[in-house]
Amino acid sequence: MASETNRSGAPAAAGSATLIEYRDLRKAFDEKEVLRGVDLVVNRGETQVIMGSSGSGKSVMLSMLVGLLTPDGGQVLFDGEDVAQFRTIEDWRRVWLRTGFLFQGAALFDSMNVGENVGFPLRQHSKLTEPQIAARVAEVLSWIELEGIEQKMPSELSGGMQKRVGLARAIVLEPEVVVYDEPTTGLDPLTSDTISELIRRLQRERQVTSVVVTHDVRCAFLVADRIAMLDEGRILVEGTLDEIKNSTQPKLRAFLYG
Amino acid sequence: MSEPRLTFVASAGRQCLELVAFVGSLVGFLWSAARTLLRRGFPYRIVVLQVYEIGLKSLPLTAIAAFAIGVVLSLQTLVMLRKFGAVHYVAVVVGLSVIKELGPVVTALMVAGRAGSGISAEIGSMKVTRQIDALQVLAVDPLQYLVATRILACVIAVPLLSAISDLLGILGGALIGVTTGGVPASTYYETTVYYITLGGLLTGLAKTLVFGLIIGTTAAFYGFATEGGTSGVGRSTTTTVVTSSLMIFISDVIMTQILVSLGF
Repeated sequence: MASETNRSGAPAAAGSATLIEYRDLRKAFDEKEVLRGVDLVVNRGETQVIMGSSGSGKSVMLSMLVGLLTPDGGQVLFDGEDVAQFRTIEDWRRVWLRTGFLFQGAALFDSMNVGENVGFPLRQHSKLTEPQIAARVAEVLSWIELEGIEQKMPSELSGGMQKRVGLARAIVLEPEVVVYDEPTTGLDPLTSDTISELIRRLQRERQVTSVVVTHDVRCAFLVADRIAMLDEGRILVEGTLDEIKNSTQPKLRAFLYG
Repeated sequence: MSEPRLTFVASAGRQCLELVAFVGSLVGFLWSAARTLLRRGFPYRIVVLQVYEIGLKSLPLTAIAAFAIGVVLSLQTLVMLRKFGAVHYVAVVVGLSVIKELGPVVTALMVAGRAGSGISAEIGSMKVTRQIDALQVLAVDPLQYLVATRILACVIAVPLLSAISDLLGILGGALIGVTTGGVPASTYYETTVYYITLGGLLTGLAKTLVFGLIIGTTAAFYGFATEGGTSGVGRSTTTTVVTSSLMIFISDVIMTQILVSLGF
């Protein structure tokens, strides 16, 4: 069911179309099996949404992609490399430097102001001078339509603004992949739409590969090229946005339309 | 063997095993952090900021405590020494007590209470709000950026604070010795300088290196182990202060025993 083009019409990158692949992924916490053999492919340049009810293991899948959790079984392939086999920080750096991560609560460093938060990855991983970093921070903040807030502390920002600053920090190094963990949870519908539009714009303008974990159906429909529904530890349904909207699968319809 | 006695032995054995496991975890944690010191791009700028945060900001507290201890020790000692007509020895008693024991131990306890709890709370809240996860996915090693920097800062700051405490403790003792005890200032100074050797001073300061290591490691360890939201942060902070204080006392006993047996 993998499509050759994404919703923005951009062709899949040269070489393998697959950038991320979960194969028979398994994970249990204590006695509770959360993932029982998940198979999922994410193509380059596409926005893949993973939906499911709370506690279904969606965020666990993201955490395993970036090494915050280790799988009990199966494989997580990132550009052909099985990250489950990574043993050193140097291995992981190859994934981390190509991936931006937007956390559910934004996870901004509360001891730093907005400018320092967004500039942090540049200070750590680039040789840019301070004026160049400041210029780049201003550029990214302008892109998320929050110009001039460099001096504000995270505690002075609303939830939606924190998410946008979190997104700015995630994309400041221009990663190939951005993963979003519940990007609209806890936000009002208008702010949720703003975040969804930013996710869409990022994919359209910069052709990043996105993995969005959400249970917000409206957000999923706004951003997705493909949607996978996680249920009882396995992928229940996977397909393009239209295929999912027109699916007759009873559990999926109940989740989407109540 | 009767059942209650067996239960007591089993309980004691279990606690011993838990203690060994805890010390093992702490040493393993310290080793993991220490290895990052040699890694490229160590953030020494953070160490300097932390020395300021831990050291300079703790200075008023440790200074007042040390001066007060010198004063009190001198007052108490004078009462006894008057009976023997040996008031000028107050300088020896205060000086040796302060540089060998009270200065290092009291300074370490103050730093454990103020800075150790601060480190634990800071790292703990970063853990529960996923800021540590954020550091990791930004390809920054939290063990290097958060832990090794703070442990190193404690190892630097505690001996510096202790040296200042030694000086202020002796000055506090001198104030009372001269004004209340009637010891001439020059005599007090000469007696102090005669009996306080560089070796004595350095052995006291050597202990503070270990105390700094204990405070930094314990605080970062419990901060990193924080779970359960804000209440978890509170628990980690309390445990840090209690555990590091106990470890300061226990290590002091062990180190003093070793130093005495070596003739220091």
